[in-house]
Amino acid sequence: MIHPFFSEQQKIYKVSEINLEIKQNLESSYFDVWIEGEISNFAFPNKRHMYFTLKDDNSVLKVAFFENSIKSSGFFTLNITEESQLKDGAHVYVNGYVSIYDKRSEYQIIARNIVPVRAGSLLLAFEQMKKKLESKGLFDDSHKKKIPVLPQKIGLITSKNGAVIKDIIKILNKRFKNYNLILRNTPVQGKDAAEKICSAIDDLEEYGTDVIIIARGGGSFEDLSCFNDEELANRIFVCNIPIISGVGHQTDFTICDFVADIRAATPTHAAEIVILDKNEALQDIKSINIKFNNLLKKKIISLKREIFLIFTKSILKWPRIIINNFWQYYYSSSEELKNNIGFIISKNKKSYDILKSRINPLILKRKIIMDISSEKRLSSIIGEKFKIILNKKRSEAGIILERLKSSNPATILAKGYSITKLVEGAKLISNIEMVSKGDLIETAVQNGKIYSEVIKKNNY
Amino acid sequence: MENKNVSFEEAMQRLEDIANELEKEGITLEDAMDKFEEGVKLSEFCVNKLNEAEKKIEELTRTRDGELKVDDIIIDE
Repeated sequence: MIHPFFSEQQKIYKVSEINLEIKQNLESSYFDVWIEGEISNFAFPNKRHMYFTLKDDNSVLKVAFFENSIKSSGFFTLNITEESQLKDGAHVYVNGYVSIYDKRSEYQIIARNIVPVRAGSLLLAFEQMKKKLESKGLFDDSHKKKIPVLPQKIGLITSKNGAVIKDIIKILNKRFKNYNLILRNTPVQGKDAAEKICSAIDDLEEYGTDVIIIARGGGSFEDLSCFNDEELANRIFVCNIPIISGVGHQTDFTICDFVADIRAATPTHAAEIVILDKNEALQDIKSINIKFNNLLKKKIISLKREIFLIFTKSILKWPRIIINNFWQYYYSSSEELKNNIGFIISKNKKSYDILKSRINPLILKRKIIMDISSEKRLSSIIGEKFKIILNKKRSEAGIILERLKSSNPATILAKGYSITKLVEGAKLISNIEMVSKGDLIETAVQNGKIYSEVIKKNNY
Repeated sequence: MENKNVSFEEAMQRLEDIANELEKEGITLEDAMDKFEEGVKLSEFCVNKLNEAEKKIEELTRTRDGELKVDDIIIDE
């Protein structure tokens, strides 16, 4: 029953009801806001959740920054300097949503992310610079120069007094004992650092190194800000020498990293990229050489096998046949000679018989002795002649053998030579006398055999 | 490949190419010998390249006249 004081339409809330509605309205209207202010009453109990009041000249607002949000915001990886840390008096941007703690009807901001204004403006500038240079094509892969694997001269831009140069030398000593490092001592932090790095690039380019490392150890975002300089980015971009950027830690990214030909995660990493590992390279060469030797050995073994095959093929009996033929000729000729000499002797004997009665036996005897010695001389002359011919033929056969050894047998047939045999008896035809009209013969050429009948023959 | 301006990378690349060519079935002995010889020469070239330089740590500075100069420096390692 509604009190008569109210009209019929009047809605009356309970406290918890109105609080819930306000909570819902506020939370949905201020779901994602950025607020700028100064921190006061900062508390960080047990280093888990942060509580503080955000204020300006006229007003205050409670803020809670819970553990999960702190972790996911990447706040601790932002790497900001001491004066930008969250503490009383710090000037910050807070991102988050409005929430009501309805038991006490208090509202507060639940923060998702907090960025110190100083670091924030640097970050913003960084992002803007990055976008601008990216759109101009300074980061395009097509402009990246190749780093030589074996630079003769390594240029290094860093501070002579820092730990970075020592770290780099340590790595180089390990990888490649006889390197040549040319340091261009350069401040890598502070107001003029970017400009000085630019002129260091000028000097190394003029001097002529094969590669340049720009290196700096870890530091805050502000410390590394000289590596986000636009002039420096442009200078790196037009440099003729490939540049390796090794700035800060693995998590730090600078414009210099993006525009350089290679981004190394750290200065140490840059030293690992800049030159090959000498022992590894020597090992590679060694194993390639072993491979060469094995391949050549394999090749020779397979050629030996081919040569063996050539010798076992019938075609190689060829020269032996030639030699045999000459031997035969030699024997039959000397046989003939013997017979003839016998004939001469018997003829002489006849004359001797006839003349015996007329001629002094002593004179006759002397004549016979003379005949016998001239026969011996003749036979030795003929023997010599045959030896000469035989040696000549042997050496010819040797030449043929050599030629066959040094060339592939298949190519002999391919050159147009052929082998002809009698079909009957399969005898190689080496002499015109071996065939008669009407004989069937077989001619082997490189890729087959031809069968023919002898229709005519001409002796030379 | 007789050219002295061949870089270490090119020589190493050529070495690997030769190894691949030697592996091919149809290669003649003459070709294989030539390749082998080239490979041996290239290997020598690469090893020489690796040993060519002498360890030096130098600092590049500009004199007052604006001339570039390099001096040996010692860095405590």
